[in-house]
Amino acid sequence: MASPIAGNESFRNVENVTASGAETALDSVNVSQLNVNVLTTENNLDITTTLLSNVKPSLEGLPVTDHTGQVAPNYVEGINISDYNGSAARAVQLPAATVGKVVVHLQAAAVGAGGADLEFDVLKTAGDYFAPGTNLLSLSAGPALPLVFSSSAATTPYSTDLDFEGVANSTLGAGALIYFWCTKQGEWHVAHDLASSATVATGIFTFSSN
Amino acid sequence: MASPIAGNESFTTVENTVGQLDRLNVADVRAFDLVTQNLLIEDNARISSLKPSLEGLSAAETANEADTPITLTGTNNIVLSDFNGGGATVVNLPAATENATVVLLFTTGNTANNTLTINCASGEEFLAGTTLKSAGVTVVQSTSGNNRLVYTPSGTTTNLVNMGTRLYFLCTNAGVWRMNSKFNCSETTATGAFVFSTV
Repeated sequence: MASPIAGNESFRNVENVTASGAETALDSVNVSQLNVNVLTTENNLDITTTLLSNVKPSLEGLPVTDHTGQVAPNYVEGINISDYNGSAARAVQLPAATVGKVVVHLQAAAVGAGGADLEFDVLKTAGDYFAPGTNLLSLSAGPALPLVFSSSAATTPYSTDLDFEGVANSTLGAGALIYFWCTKQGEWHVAHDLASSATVATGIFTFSSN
Repeated sequence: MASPIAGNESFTTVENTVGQLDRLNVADVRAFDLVTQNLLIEDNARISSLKPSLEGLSAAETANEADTPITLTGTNNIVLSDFNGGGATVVNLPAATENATVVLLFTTGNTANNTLTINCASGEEFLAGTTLKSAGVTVVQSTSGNNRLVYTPSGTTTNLVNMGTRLYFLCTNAGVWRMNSKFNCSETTATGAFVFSTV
C-alpha cells in the first residue's frame, strides 16, 4: 500500500497528538466520559464543592470561626459567626478575593434597637470589589415602597463597601446568612438568606465605594 | 526528510482524528453551556454541593410521628413529616444510590422536645463536612463515619425546624449522603440542636 502521506510530510500522528505539544491538554479530558450528566452530577468523580458565579455556595465542609465580641473582625475563609446586634458598629474586613474562596457571615442573634451599622469591606489594597450588578433585598424606611433592591455599582468605580443598618425586627435575624464567594480573581459575589416573617420590617443594605 | 512512519503504515493522521472528534467541538466546551443545559437536556442536573430542585420528585412517602420507626424506600421523594417533638421519631433513610434525592419537609411547628433521629442505611454514612445550623446560632458538622443525625427541639416556638423547613439528602457517591437545608429564618429562630454521631 502506498503511503497516504506521500508528498505531505508535515503531518502529526495520533501518538503525537495525545502525548506532546499543544494537544497535550486533551489528555486531561476523557472524551468518552464527557457529557452533561457526568459533569453536573459529579458521580464518583469529584466530591469537592461546586462553585458557580450565580449560585449561592454550599456550607458543606467549610471551617467555622467565631468572632464574638470583635468590633473589627478579620473574616477568614469559611463560616464566620458574628454576634453583631446593632448596639455597636462592626467593621468586617474580608480576606483577599481569590478564586474558589467562600466566606459566610452567620448571624448568631437577632439585631436589637441600636441602629449601628455592620460594614463589610473588601481588601481595597488588593483592588478587590463587589461584582457589578449584585442585587440584595433591602427594606427601606419608606412606607410607600419598603421592599427594594440594593445594587452594587455596574461600572467603575465598582463597589467596595457593603453596609447593613438594622434595628429591631430586621432581616438579619438569628441564623441569617450573608455569602461572599469568588469565581474571578478580585471579585466577590454576594447573596444572602435573610429572615422573613410577618414582623420583619427593617434592614437596609447599601453598597458604596470609598 | 524521511517519512516518520516508514515501516508503520497503520497510522492515523491528525485529520482523521479530528474527524472522529467532530461531535465534540472542544473549543465550545464551557461550564456555562454544560450546566445551564440550554434546550438540550431536560433531566434535573444534580450538583453535588447544591440544593436540588423539587421538580419531578414524588410525594409518595411520609414520615409522621405516629408511624415511627419509619423506613423510607423511595430515592426520588419529598417526604412530608408532621414531627413536632410530641413523640420521639425515627426515620431510616433509603439506601444511598447515585442521584438519589430525599427531601424531608416538615408540615408543622415544633412545640415539644422529643427527638427526631435520622439513620443512614447499614454501612452508609453522611459525607464528612456536612454542615447544618444549630442552636445558638452555631453550626454542627459531620465527621467521617457519622451515620446518625439527631434533632432535639427546644419545646418552644423558635425552633430551627418548623413548618416548611426542608432537610435535603442527596447522593452523588453510592453509600454517602450529602445534606443541605432550608430553614425558615425569622428574627428569633435560634433553638433546636442537631448532633451527628456514629452508631
